[in-house]
Amino acid sequence: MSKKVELIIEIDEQGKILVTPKGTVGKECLDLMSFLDKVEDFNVIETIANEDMGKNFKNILKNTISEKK
Amino acid sequence: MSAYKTIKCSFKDKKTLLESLKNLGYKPVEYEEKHNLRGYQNDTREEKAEIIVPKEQILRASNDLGFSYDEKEKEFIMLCSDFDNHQGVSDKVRQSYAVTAIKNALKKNKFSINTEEKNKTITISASKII
Repeated sequence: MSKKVELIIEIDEQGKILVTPKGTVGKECLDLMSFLDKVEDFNVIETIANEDMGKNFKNILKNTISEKK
Repeated sequence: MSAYKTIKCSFKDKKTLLESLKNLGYKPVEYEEKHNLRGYQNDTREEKAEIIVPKEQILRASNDLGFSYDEKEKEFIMLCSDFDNHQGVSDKVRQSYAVTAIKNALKKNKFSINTEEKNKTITISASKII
């Protein structure tokens, strides 16, 4: 079933970008934002889990890395 | 809602850089070889750049704003005078570049976008059906 997902992107005075997703959780959320990692101009400083991702966050990241291998 | 990302932006893409300068109302001049910048009294500065926003387009007492390509780092370095830096010129350029780069990335990934500005922060709401 299809659904609407949203990214709220705030760009401050110094050009620092903060991206917060809505309507998606877990691995789907990381996949949705993964295109940002591939943009040549961007250096991802940090990716932080909110409460709903909880303890599974590290595992998701690990899985994502092993999938790339 | 789940993870969020904090991203720093660097000037790597010439097309995005030129587009972001034009979005600020500047008409940047491109040179095939690095060209000396000019100071506010029309003096020749030792700093050189391939892309220059002439001082007349910035503020009354501005100096040229330059972007010099660094072959080693594969990115443009912004050459902005202390005066213009204090007037917020370099911040404006950084923000405009980030907005342009992220909008291009969102469009490429088929997001529909809506932009608004409040308290010098630009917020883009991007959505799509998955």
